Amino acid sequence: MKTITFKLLLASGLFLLPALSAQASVNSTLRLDVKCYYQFKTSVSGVKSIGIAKVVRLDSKQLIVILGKQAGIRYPGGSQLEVTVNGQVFITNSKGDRLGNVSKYLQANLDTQSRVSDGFHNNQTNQETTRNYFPVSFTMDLPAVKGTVYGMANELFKITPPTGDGLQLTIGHTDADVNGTGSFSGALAHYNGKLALDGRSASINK
Amino acid sequence: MKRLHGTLLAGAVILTTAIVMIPRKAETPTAGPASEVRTASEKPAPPAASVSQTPRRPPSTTRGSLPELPSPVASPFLPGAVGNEEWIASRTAELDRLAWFDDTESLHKILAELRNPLPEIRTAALAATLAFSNRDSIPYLEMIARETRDPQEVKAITDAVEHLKLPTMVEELERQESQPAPAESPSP
Repeated sequence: MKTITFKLLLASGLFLLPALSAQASVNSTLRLDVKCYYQFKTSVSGVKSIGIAKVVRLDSKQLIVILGKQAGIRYPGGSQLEVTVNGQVFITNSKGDRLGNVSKYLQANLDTQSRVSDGFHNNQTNQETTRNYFPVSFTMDLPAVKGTVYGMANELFKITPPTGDGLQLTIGHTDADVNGTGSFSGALAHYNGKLALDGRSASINK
Repeated sequence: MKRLHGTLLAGAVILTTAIVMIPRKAETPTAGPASEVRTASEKPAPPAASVSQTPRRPPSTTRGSLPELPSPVASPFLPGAVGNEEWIASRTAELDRLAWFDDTESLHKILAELRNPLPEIRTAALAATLAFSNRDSIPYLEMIARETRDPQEVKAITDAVEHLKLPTMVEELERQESQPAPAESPSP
């Protein structure tokens, strides 16, 4: 009886224990740098089946070029890819002004709800310094480039203590080794590389 | 007899002087490089901070026709100071911002930081060079690899060179547009 009561208390305690109420992630620029291994050619010669694989590299700047061609426009130099906390992707100019929503073609999924956190969050001041680990995926759905890469995000997330004016900076840096499958120009393709997200925002909390 | 002793004594003095002097003379010209080689190969790996201060050989004289890079931007703070950490963060952000552009000036600013005395900035500069994604950086990377002593940094730079040598997806798409698709037969 005593054991059951203890277990019940322990279970209730786990529910009541204040979870780390961190709000990981912040709108960020997206850096993708992957190699794409694709089936360039297959042929049969006599009794031999011959395959030729090719490797090309793909990064965020190239995605902007491909998206520009898709839309029939040329994005200005310094344009960036921005990922919002809910996974939408925008092209911004070098100042961060949004030039277009490209979520139809590119989607990021940051599963911060299932994060594993290490660090602290001050529930009063909102100050936070945490290292967070959570699943991340990035999907490309362009006519020539399709596929989804997956990985585990390793995020360093900081909210600075408020200044006298209540100003707080939120800074997030995320890295992930990613890989996945898709197609390039209609041919089977495997992607392998890195994804990085860098975000910074300021807020006033009085 | 006295004369013989005197001659013998003088001979002994000359011989001793010669024995002492010859090895010293032989050592003198090689003293600098020899000690450099020893410190590079025999010393145990020093801590990161000291690696950062002496990672390079003198700038290569085989630059050929490469335009000169600007000098790296020096931190106004002392290593380890709180301000230095913030400065590194903002400089890293600036390099990341420059990497989104396509102009030569931005590329040269990034490449210059591969010679920064701070390892964090060199790492950020190499990441920015990769993100810049321009093969014009390859000769500079090769030159800086020759100047660099830290084998891990040399490997990172040579890996970056290999990566940049790969064709880009945009180039491949353009090639496919300009050339007919390769003759394909059913998959094996």
